[in-house]
Amino acid sequence: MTDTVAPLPAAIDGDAPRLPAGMHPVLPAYRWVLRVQLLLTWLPLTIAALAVDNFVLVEAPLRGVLSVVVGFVALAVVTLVPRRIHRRLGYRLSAHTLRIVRGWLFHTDTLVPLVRVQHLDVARGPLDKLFGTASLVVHTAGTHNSIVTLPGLAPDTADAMRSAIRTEIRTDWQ
Amino acid sequence: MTGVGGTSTDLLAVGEPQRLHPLTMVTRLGDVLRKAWGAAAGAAYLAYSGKWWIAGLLVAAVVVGSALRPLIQWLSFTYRVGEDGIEIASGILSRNHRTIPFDRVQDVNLEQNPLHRLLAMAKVKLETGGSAGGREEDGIIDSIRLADAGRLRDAIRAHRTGVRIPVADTETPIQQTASVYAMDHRRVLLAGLFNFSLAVIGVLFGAAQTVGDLAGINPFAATFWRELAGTGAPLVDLVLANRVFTAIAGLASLVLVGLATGLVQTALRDYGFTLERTESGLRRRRGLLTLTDVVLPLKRVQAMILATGPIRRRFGYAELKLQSLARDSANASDHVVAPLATAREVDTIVDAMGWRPLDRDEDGWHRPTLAYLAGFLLLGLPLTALGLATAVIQDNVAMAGVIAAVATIFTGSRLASYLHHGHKRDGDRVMVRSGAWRQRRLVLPLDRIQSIDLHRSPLDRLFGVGSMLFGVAGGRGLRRHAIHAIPYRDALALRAALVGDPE
Repeated sequence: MTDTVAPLPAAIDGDAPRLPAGMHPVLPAYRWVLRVQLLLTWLPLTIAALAVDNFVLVEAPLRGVLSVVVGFVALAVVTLVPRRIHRRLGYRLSAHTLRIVRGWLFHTDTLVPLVRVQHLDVARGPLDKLFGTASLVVHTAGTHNSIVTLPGLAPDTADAMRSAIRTEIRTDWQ
Repeated sequence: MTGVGGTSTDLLAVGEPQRLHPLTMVTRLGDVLRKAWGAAAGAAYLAYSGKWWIAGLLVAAVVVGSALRPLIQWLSFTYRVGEDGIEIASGILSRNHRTIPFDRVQDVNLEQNPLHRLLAMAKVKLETGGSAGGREEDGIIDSIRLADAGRLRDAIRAHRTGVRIPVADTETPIQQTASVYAMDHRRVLLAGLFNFSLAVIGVLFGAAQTVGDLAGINPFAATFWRELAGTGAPLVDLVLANRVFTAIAGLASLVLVGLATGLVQTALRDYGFTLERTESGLRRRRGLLTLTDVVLPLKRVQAMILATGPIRRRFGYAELKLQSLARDSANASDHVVAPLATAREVDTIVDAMGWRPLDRDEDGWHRPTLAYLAGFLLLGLPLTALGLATAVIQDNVAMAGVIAAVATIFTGSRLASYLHHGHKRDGDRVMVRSGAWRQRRLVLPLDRIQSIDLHRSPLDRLFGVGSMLFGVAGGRGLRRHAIHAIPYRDALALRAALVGDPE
């Protein structure tokens, strides 16, 4: 499932996953899911900024600055952030645990013992269907962090992981 | 079918819907009256503003409603105890049938307020603990005869432990209980003294300073004491002329009020505290006016928490709490199994629970790295410097003093918690100690860990450390069990070891 296309050195290739040893990256298509998601968040903000500039700040000395700044940030977020999220998102399903790492600036590394899993979802939203991805949602009984989500999987992979985890589930309080 | 239902044919017959105790209509009157307060105020206002007939109508409606409501509630509420579950039907317009399998009942709790005790009734609370984020208990039967409540509880407990009650044997208690811990009057008094709350004093001090003068009860003012002592006594006047005396007297009276508050609270809650070991768990009974009787199955216990305060620690006392899937009450999530216990008593309880003795060795704790302080100072020092600089520029001495004091307090408490924070592996358990003023020691069995997160913020990355967060079932989301500022490499290794998965 790794990108076999890119023979570039990892330092140059911005798309190459940067994960701890043994972790699998998620599908590259997940970047598109993120792009559309971010676009859907930032487009309204950009439009709002344009509206404010054209209707509220008509007399303001620096008219247009707001739109430019917001538009620029939106563009940067939509183009740069998805690949950065994608290359730091990885998972590993071992015999007894599911490990998910994400993020660099605020790095989180989650480990769920499979015996503790309460139930499992495979979720596919409209964007997931469009780009051929699926999310695996693992519910534990914990009060903190009781829902662990792993997005950007191939639907087959998600199903296979679900079956693999299901065999491990057993309740140990009656 | 020599099961539960067959045993107590008259009371817990299978398929027979049961009603609540008829006197429920009386015991619930308190609730009704409380709800009628709003209407009473409204009526008074209307009467005052001359709209007599509307006021009369309102009063009549409320009286009829108050009288009818308990009756309708009583008529509409039935419960049916089946072979392996209980069905509760409630509601008037929107009927609700709820089925709770005995297998899923985690706690069967009885509660008796003074009126209940007078009438030999009890409120039964069945908790399934299933609803994540659900604030209300799942099954409340309010109220039935105490004997019925006890029998229902026994039936559920017997079902769970797989013991079937012999038909002839309904009257003898099924449970072999053994007392594990109890509080005598002296201990309750002591616990009350320790419950002396600084917060109450703070609030009272604030109140005395702000509204006390208006209300004429400011113990920091000489006039207050002069009126108390009666006027004209020259000695009193002489003493009161000294402001130090009024300050001391004010402080002393606040301390007394704080002590009294703690004592009353503790006595109401913990009077007659007994903890017994039953077949499946611990049974706790306590209360002065309102009695509660809670059974906590040991299989549901997720973690153990030992908490002490600064003074209690000196005398070797600690509070023992158990984190469970069920909630103790609306405002306390962990079950208190011993409010004030010596180390030996704690060991007895731990032993009765079938847990290994606690590791009381003070060596071998893994401490956080200095990053725990450094990260805090890196953010705090520039802020403090900025604040002080602003104060100096504005020539505002008071502001500078406040900033310096706040910074000192925060740094001091951070330093103290740095000195006390630590973790330790204890065989199949992990222990985490935290807090400096009120110290907590968490004992978490490894097989109760639902998930482990490792977090690194940018500052953590700078120092090469990380925090470890444990997902544990039950308890409250607010208080998280965590180990802070340990070297990231160690954190990875520790996590692999705790989960028993060498990656």
